[in-house]
Amino acid sequence: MATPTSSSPGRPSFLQADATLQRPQVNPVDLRALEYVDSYDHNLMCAICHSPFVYPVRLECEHVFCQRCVNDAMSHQDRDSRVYSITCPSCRRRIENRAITPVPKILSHILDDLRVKCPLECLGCPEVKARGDIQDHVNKYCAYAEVKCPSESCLLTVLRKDLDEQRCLHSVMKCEDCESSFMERDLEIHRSRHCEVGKASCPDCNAQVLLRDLEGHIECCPDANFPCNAAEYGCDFVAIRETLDEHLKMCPLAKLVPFLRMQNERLEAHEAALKHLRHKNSILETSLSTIQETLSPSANLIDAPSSSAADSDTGPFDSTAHHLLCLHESLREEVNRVSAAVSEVDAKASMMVMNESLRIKEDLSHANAVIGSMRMQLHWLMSARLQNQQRVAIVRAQSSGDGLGSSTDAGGSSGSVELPVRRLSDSTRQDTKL
Amino acid sequence: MAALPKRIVKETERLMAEPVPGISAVPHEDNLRYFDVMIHGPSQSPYESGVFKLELFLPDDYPMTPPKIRFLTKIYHPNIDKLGRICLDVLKSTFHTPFLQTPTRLTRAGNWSPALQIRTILLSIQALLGAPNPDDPLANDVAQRWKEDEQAAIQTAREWTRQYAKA
Repeated sequence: MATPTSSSPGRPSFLQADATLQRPQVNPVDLRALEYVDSYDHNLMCAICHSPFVYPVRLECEHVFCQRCVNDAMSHQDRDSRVYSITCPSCRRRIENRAITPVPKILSHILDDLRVKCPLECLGCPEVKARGDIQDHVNKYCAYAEVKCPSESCLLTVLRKDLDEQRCLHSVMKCEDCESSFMERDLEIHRSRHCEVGKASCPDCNAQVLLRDLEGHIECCPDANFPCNAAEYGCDFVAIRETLDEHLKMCPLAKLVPFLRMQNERLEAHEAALKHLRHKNSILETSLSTIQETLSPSANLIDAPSSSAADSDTGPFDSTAHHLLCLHESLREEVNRVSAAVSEVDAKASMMVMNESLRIKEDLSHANAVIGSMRMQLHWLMSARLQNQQRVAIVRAQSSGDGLGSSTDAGGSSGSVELPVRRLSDSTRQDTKL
Repeated sequence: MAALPKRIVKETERLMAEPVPGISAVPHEDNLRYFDVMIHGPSQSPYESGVFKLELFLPDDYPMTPPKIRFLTKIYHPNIDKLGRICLDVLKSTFHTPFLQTPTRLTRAGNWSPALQIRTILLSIQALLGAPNPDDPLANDVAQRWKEDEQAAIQTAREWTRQYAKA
C-alpha cells in the first residue's frame, strides 16, 4: 500500500532518485500549498484537505481521498477508538478492509493537468505549469530555485538564474550607502528595495529620492516629461503632465490617434492575410506546374489532330485534354483495380482447386489401397479353390485306378499341404491393408 | 505558530465569500484559528429573532479533530449547558466516549468526520436550535422541564432569547 496509484509510483521514486543524485537541497513540492490558476471541478477536491486530490486512493465505499488524508484520518480514528474498524469520512460506512485501492488512471491524469503557479512565485518566478510537471520545473528549470554555488569551496546556494556568472556570489560586500554588509547575491535586491540611505535623483525634477522609491516617484513626479499620445504618428511635443493635458485637447494628431491605430491594425491584418494568400498561391502554382508536366506529353498526343483549334481556343491547359487525362487516369485506376481483383480471384480459385485435388488424391490412394487388399484376398481365395479342385481331382484319380504312379506322387506331395501357403511378401505388405 | 493549513484558508475564504444565510463567522485578526460566530435563531422556534454569539476554535490537528465551539450568549436549551457547551454528536471525535462513563453515554459515540467543515457544523447547531432534543440532555434541569411542561419551557426559552440574544 506504499505506492497507491498506478501513476504515482513512478513519480515519487523518480523524484527521490533525482533528489539524492543531483539536488539534495530541493524539498518535494507540497502540491496542496500550490495556487491553482483556473477554477477546477469541485468533485476533484478532497473532502478532507479541500485541495485537488494528491495521490488519490479509493476506499471500499468508493469514496476517494488523498492518500495522506486517509492515513491521517485512520490514525486519528485508531487513537480515539478501541474498536478495530474505521469509518469513511464521507459516508461513515464502516471500512473493514483497510486495503486502499488505486483510482482510475484518468483521474490522476486530470489532476496532473491542473494548471498551477510555480511555488517560487514569491521569489519572482512567473511560470504556470501543469501540476504533474511542477516538481520537474522546480527541480530542473525554475530560475528561482536554489542550487549549489558554482564555486566548489562554497557550501551555500544561489538562485539558478545567477548560476550563469560561474562564480561565487557569497563574498561579503558593503552597501555603498548604508554601510551594512551583504552577500553579493543579496546586494542588488537590498539596494533596489530595502536600503534606507541610498538615494538617486529623479531624471526630471532632480529631487533626491530613496532608491527604493524611485520607480513609484517617477510615476507620480509632477515634473516628469511625457510625450504626446501621438508621438508615434509624428507629434514631437513633450511636456509635463499638466501642459500635456492641454496639448492633448488641441493636438489634431492626438485626436486622430484612435483612428490611426485602427487603420494600423487593419493594415497589419491585411498584410497577414496577404502573406497567407501569397503562400497559398505559391503552393497552387507548384501543383499546377507538376500537373502541366504530367499533362504535356499526353496532351500533345491527344491534341495532335486538332491541335490548331484547341491551342487557338484555350491554350495548353485546354479542358478537353484535361478531361481526357482525367479519364485516362481514372481508367488506369479502374484497370489496376480490376487486375488486382482478377489476380485475387485467380489466387482464390487456384487455392480451391489445390485443396480439392489434394483431397481427391488422398481418396484415390485410399481406394487404391483397398483395391490392393481386395485383390490379395481374392488371390488367396482363388488359390485355395484351385488347390481344392486339384485335391478332388487327385482323390478321384486314385479311386479310379492305381496305375498312374506319377500322379500319386504328385498328389501325396500336395496332399500334405492343406491350405495354400501365403506368399512371404504378405507379412511385409501388411501396411497396405486396411 | 506553524503556517495556516490551506484547508483553513480556503474554508475561511468561502465563509466570507458565500456566507450561510443566518450565520456569520469572522476570524480574529491575530489568530486565524479563532472565529467569532453569530447565529440567528431559526424561525418558528423559541429562539426566533435572537442573535446568538458563539466562539469557535480550530485545534492544531483540525480537520482530524472537531472544532471547539461554545455559546457565549446565554440560552435556554436542553442540549446546551450554562457554560455554553453544546451536546452534539458531530462535535465529538469518533468513538471518543470513554468506557468509564455510563452505558447511555457509551452508545452515543462521537460523529465528527474530517469531511465536515465549519459551515456544516454551524448549520447543525442552527438546526439544533430548531429541534431541541431533551432525551439526550446536557442541561438536565432544562431537559426535565422540557419533558414535563414543554409549553412553559418554550416560554422561558423565548424570554431568555428576548432578554439575552438581542439583535
